[in-house]
Amino acid sequence: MSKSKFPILGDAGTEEILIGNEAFVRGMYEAGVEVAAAYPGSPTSEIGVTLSAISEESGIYFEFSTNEKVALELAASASIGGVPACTFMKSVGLNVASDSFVQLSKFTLKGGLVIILGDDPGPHSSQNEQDNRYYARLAKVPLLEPSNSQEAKDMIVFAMELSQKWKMPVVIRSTTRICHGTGMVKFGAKKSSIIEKKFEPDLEGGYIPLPGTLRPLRIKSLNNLKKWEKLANEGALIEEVKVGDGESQIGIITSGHTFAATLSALRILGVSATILKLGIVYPLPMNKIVDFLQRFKKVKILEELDPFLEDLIKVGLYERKITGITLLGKSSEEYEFEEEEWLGEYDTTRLVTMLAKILDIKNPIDFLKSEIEVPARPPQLCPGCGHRTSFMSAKEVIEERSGFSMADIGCYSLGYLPPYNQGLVLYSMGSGVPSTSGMSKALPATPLMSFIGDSTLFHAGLPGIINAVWNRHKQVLMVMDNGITAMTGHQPNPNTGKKSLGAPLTGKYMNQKSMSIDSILEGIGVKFIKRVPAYDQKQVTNALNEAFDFAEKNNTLAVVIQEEPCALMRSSAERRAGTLANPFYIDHAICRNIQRCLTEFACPAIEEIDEKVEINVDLCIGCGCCVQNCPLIEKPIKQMEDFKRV
Amino acid sequence: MSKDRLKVHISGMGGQGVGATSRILTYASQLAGLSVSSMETHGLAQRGGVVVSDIAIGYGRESPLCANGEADVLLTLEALEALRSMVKLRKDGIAVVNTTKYQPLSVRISRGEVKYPTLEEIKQELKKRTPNVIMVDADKTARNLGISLAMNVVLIGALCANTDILPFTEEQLKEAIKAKIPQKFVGVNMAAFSKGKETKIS
Repeated sequence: MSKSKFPILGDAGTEEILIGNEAFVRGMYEAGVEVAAAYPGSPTSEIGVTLSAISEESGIYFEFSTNEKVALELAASASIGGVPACTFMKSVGLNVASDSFVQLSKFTLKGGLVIILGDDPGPHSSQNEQDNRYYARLAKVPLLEPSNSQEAKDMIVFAMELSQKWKMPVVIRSTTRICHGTGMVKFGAKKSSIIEKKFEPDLEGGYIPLPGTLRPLRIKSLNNLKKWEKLANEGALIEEVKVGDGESQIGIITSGHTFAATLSALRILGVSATILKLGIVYPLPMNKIVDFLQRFKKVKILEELDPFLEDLIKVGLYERKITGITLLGKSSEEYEFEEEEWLGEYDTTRLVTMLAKILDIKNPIDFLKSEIEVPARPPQLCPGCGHRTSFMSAKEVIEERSGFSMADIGCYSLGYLPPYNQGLVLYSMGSGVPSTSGMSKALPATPLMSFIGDSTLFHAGLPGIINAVWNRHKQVLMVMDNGITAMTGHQPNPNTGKKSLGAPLTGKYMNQKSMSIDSILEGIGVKFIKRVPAYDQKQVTNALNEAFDFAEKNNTLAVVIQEEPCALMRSSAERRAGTLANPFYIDHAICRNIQRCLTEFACPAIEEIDEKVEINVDLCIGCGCCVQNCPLIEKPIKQMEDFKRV
Repeated sequence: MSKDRLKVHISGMGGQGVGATSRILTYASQLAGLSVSSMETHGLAQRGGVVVSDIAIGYGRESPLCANGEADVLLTLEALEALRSMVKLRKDGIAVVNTTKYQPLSVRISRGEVKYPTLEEIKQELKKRTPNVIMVDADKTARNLGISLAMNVVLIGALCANTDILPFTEEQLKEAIKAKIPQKFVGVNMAAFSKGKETKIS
């Protein structure tokens, strides 16, 4: 029996059911990782949450850094100093970190560095479904792909061992299905690093890539890749899996969750096949693959997103002058581009359909779809969210002034959805202010504004804000200050401190003071900064009007900071404590059924029952924000005096 | 079908306890000594979107996801989500549906254009796929016991009493409930389980 209160710190030999993200943390623990850093981002957020929890007991230093680039530089430099280190990020997080990521293969990372990427085919919770396998090729870094929780854990240990042996970075590419899927994980023993903690500035060519010093560093990184190619060709992390009792009707090359889904698809189809499952996806074990291709008449490559394996394999065949193989990838037999195969996830249902078509057999899947139309259930701002009242004010002000608004990344991206329709252009983290600046050059007479949350402001917002002040770009910025990184599940940020009202702050984040966004903006030279309570729409509206007037008059950036702790976090904490305010109800004796609260304010707690507005008492957190959106003088939305929440 | 394999599809709305329900059934399978894996799909669901969890018991290294028409059990914590998830249910499988309704945004802002179907419509639609449809007002039952959070355990009780396809015993299921909920709520959850067991296929 393990002494730890955390199951993932259990003894070697223990078995636990873990989600992939927890399995990664167990892997770090076994691999002897001492330093880890990250910015939260789905699907990898739970890695940070888990590391935060076990940090003290495990001795792994973990921090939420301000962004992915900062986290990667921190982890890589700890490794240069001799410490086994790890960083992890969502797919698009690597875009932020890429400036330093592409340099890593040139450096001598003697402590070892493993980078976990959470790609998001679908996508489930990202602004794109980019295929990060290309980054491995770009940056000359080996890339491994696990297909379940056990492999997620094992691959971290394997990757760290080789990272330390060859002093180079290794990437583990996961996807949402691996990060969030659960499976049994058998624990191994924890290793401790025996690497000397010492900085050796001239080690293997040094750490200053400049035009004059780059060549040997480039050669080193190419040679390091060759070591991985050799390892892959010797069979490392490759598995050939025979499915079914009959002779294989097809060969399949795949990796990751698609491997697991292919097993399901073949069972449903009742087809015998042989799968070549790749663990090392870059560089490819081309000798093994070519051998496989030559043994099967027909081979289908099953890979989500882009034809990464397919393109490399075609090159490999060309180089080896091998012909006569039916290689089925993402183009039709006439070699026409099939865009459908580039999109979304390959789940079991889809794989059954694809394979049935290739094998020219009947698709055995039998299902019944509801004939009744099922209304969509898009994500929405939570009951009591301070963003909602702010969007009501912004919408009013911006429509009156015939302007429009630009978006940024966070819960407030949801302002785009009806009925608010706020934030109409979105690139990436921190893009709101620069995109507003650009639009102001195209449409100088149009009032423009954007939104940014506190976490995004610290992540990538400040350079755009500084630029807008420096170059005098006329616009209004609303900072949505809820004191937490809410969208990814309430991780702390530099603005968290005590104002979070419910965030489980642990370790060094406990009792930390918030950094003042106001002072930072003041220091940058923003001349109009007004902080208002988000719940008070009149104050928010007035502040926005003042800000637009100021921006127009002074040809500059004006900022309104609306403040309200994340309602989901606050209400959850208050529910647990039994202190949550009583819900509201509609007094139908005076309600005139105008339904503005229902259709324009659109809080999830406000529903339509038998053509009347009713408040769902389970969802209502008693904030009363809806009341100010009722046009009647005598308000029919009233708070219950006697109510027991169960 | 064999008694040591089962596919379960759980659906509901963010915050309703889809994940907790999944963990109970997963752990019960573990107690029965079966291989089990699961997959929660939540996207941005914490903000009131759809959450689903798939469980594959006895399927080894296969993906936990249910293919269309493959789920032996459909357990839905919100009535409308039963219809959305119906595509996963196998013919003559079992559907346990909480009758609680949460109106999606698309219904609320439509001024009556987009309709939330009635419970009777939902039931009849599901009956096209299977005679085994159980509609339970699990929220009400749980609230009467003093804790609305036990709603999912009411549904688990209803499932347990109305089918013989579960690959774990009632005792293992109870043990899993005890293991996966906070100690102080064990008593009320055991009561919720018993109340759920009184439900019959309608």
